[in-house]
Amino acid sequence: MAGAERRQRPPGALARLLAHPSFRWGLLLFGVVALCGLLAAWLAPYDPLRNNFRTRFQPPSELFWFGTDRFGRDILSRTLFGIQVSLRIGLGVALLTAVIGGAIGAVAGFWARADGPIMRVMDALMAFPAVLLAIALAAALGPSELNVIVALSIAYVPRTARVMRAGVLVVREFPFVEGARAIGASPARVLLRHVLPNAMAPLVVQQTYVFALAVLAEAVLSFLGVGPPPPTPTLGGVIADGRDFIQEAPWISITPGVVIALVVLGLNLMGDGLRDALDPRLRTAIR
Amino acid sequence: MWRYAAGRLLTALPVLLIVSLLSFGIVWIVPGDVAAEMAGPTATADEVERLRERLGLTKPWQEQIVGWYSALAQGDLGESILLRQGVGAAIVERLPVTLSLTFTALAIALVIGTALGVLAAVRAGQAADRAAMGTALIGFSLPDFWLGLVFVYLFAVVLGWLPTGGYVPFTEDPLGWAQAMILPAGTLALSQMGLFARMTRASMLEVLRQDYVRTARAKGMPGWIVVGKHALRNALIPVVTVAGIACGVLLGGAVVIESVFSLPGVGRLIVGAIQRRDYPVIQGGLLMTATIFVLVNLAVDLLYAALDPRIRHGRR
Amino acid sequence: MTLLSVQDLAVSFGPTRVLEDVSFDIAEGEVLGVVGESGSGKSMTALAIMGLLPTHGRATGRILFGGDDLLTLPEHAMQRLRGDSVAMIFQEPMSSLNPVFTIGDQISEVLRRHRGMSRRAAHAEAISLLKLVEIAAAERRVDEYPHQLSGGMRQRAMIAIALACRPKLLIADEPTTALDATVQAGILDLLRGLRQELGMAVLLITHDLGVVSDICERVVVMYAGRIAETGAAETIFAQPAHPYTRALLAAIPRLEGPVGDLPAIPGVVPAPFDFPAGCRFAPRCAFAMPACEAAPPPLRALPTGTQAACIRAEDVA
Repeated sequence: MAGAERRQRPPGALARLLAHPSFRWGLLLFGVVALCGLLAAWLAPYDPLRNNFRTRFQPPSELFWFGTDRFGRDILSRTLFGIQVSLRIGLGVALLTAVIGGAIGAVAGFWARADGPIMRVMDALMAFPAVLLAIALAAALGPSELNVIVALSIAYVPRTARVMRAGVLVVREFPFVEGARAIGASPARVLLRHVLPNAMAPLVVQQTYVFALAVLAEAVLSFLGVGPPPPTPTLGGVIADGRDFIQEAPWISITPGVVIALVVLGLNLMGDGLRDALDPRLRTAIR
Repeated sequence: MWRYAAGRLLTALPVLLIVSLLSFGIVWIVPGDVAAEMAGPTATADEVERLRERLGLTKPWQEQIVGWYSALAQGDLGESILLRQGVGAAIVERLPVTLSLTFTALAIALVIGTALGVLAAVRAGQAADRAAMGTALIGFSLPDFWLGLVFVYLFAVVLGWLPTGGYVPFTEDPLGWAQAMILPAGTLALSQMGLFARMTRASMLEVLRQDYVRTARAKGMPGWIVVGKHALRNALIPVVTVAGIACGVLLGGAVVIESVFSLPGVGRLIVGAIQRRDYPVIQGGLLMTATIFVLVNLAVDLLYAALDPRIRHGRR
Repeated sequence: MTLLSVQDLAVSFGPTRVLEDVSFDIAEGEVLGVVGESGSGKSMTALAIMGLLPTHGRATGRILFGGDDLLTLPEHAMQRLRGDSVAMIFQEPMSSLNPVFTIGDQISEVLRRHRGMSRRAAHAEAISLLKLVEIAAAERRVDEYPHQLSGGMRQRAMIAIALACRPKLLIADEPTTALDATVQAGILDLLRGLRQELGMAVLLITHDLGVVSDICERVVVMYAGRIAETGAAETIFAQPAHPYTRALLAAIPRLEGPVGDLPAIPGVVPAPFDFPAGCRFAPRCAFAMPACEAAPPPLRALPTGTQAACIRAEDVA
């Protein structure tokens, strides 16, 4: 019996994570694209911003692997630098919503009196389609990378808050929390020391998905011209550049779209792996 | 049932109140002078001042809010400076396009998504399961506006089967409407189809373990009735609640899809307004979209009650 | 006349055998009790007869019913049989009815499938079936949903579904376990009455020997996937030949009290992957001796007319 028990003991979270095929594939996809973005300055064959009217609308060739746009700019170089922007914004949104949404959700879940009003405001924010709200906010705030992060964070914060709240509501009822309360720990201490660390797993999973959503939404914003201002190369922006020339020069739009898809697919796969590894309860519930 | 409906309506009211306040408040976060921005760089100081007057921006903010709500109470969403048209009229004119796009996409997503989910659940762990879930994952990982462009290139430019864009009202030409709708709605449906497929699979796996499914089999029901009637009716309950949320995502997605396919809907109106800083249209568009979302979710909750008799008869 | 004949039934999940060497007959109109603790394989036997084993379960042997071997019958033929000439009711009336359909719909469905009745005729028949199982205000209850009924009423509704096509064999898997003691008695009375009225055979699965002594003519005692003892109920109650049966009988509470799980026999039923090589009861048996651990003892006939799978049966009695 003892032998069987030892064999069946679940391995640690990290080991389970790395053994999970979804996570490994996701990490590989995301990692390769992210690395290309990080090394853009070394990898890019051309200056992503320099116009060259002699090389306008070049189809993919040995000189320009993914062709050029109407200003003769190299699509590969613009895409590589665009990855940087997408990842900065995606990560920024994931972190900002984690902090703000996490705090809002923790307060709502922990103090019953604050719950109703806070969640009504979150419901109201959720009533706006996230992408539409982000577009309007980004337009109102004015074009800049930081404003895009702020706008997307406002749009996606209710999701994070909801996940955090749900986690806190569950953990709040655990015996060790009762115990901490009983020995006279202050509410803030109970929340920070006992409840939050145990409600973190769903948040980590959720933020991976928020990262993916933010990368997609940033592309929409840039596509519609309310993303980071030109001449910053963005993936959505390059797609927009090619939009009017989809008949003559389809390569302009296709390359950056494939890159977005790879990043988002990688993040979603990682999210699935994290969900299975960190929260076995969710595995049966969601997958 | 009616008490349940009334109760849900009551909780929707504060949400609508905050929604309308937030829609109005979007002008407050504009850094700098809204009137100057709207009038453009060539306007004279006098023109900017007159615009400020027309927008009611000269009044203190309390009065602005009161003005916004008293106008709302009369169904007045303000006036678009650039379109020289009431915002309400401008939106209502374009609403059929957006609604037919959104709900066609919802229908496609629901039908294909639940079918994939059921298939995956029934064949759990087998190749069909992996294929269905792979499709779902790719579905919500692709940027839909980009996929729309690719589809336009493929089906309109290369193959020449479908128009590159534009809208044909259903009442004028149903076939033309369908041709104009299939690419945009199909593209828009993709991400939500993936989510529905995942939800349905999870919910179906849960339901297939239930005792009443075994009862149905013990009654001699053929497999497709056990799955398609006894299990699916129960498995759909959580999926339907998500359909309301999906509707909001689709309304948001419609904004960019309308731009890609040149559909004259509310989304393109809002995008145009954003590019021209036409704030009354942005405010009205936001409010209208969010209101539709709240109403759809209200309807979904009532549908939910219709699907689940336990809720219809009040909490157990 | 033998109605059902189970011969050398074995059920395995992959390499794990949860059931083996199970053989018994049920005559037409007879009530056979199958008794054992949880994990004894009694429910698995019932599911094997119904052809409703869990996905990876595989049954071997023969289950003869009406000239067919149910184990070799194709699925569509089994579907025509289930709910028609063989019906089954389950332990949990709370979860065994579909929450989103009315009681009437769930009864009508069987009639429409097996009898080809019209919607209207099936609805009328559903009402008379509800009356048959003694549900008051059947005309109103027929259009209600399961959550509107009490536990006892739900089990009656389940019985109405099972009886809809007047089955020749009713398999009842712990039909009263989940119910209150007073409701239990009502359901048992109903089953006894219906069985007489309709002349069907009943395979009653239970862990409660009191229930068996109440309504069963013959009994099969199961332990850890094998038959321990079988024979006329009266004889077995008077002279148990297997130490397990004896222990079960000794454990019946003498006074009226809460009829829950069986009071303690020391130890637990071993899990299927942990079955001992010899007699499976030996580790818990007061009569065990070294020879018991050699091989599982086969059933053998005793002078009392019963059969027991114990090499020391004569010493036990």
